[in-house]
Amino acid sequence: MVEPSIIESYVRPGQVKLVFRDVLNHGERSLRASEAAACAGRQGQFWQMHNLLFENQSAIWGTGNAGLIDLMLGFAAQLEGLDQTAFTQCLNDRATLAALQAADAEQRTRGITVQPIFEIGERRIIGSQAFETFAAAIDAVAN
Amino acid sequence: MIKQTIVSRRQLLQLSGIGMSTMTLAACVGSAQPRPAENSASNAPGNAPIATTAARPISAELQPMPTATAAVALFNGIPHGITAEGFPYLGNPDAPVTMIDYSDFL
Repeated sequence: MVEPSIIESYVRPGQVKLVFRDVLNHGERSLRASEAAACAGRQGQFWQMHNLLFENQSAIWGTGNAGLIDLMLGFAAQLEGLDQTAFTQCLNDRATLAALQAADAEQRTRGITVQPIFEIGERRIIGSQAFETFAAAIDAVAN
Repeated sequence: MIKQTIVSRRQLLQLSGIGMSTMTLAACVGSAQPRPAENSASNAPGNAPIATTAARPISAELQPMPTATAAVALFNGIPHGITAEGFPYLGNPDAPVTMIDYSDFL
């Protein structure tokens, strides 16, 4: 996983803005995880939830559809300062689902059907690649 | 060239939770340059707000104007927010390079 290196080398110094877009490839697990991130994002904690979700992928895979809401609520409970009531309502109401699905559908018309895919300028990088690959693409756009 | 199609803005803004408070903040700052919408600061850990000073015009009499400040949310010391299209970003909103990460959490 090279994202931490990219963040430290390019994002933190201000050279790169990293934008996250959900790809919904794994049914209800994807939906619930992306909804949890989006609901946390409504309270300014998208990246905190983003990291929690990636750190707990095995737990998500190991949970059936019926248990996904409780799992996400458990993640949310770990986020200090998050309004748990508002988060729960957001998740239960599926308040972010339509927008997530619309974005995913739009992306699919552009060939974003697997993950991860990265776009840097006009270059598209498919799959996990070495840090040097990303660095070259970033430097090409920056210079 | 990779074509970026913008999804219904209304739908995407549902993701961001951008509300009138954010728009009001932007209006108060009065920046001359359009900037991506950003989340307001929260009390989350690693999300400590910092104050930034916006450039202010000087009147014809060269009288200094009051200084306005705007909060910038940080995650682990890095700015973050929501793009104008409604997607979360990390980093300098005006960075010369944008990297889009299409990913699933699984």
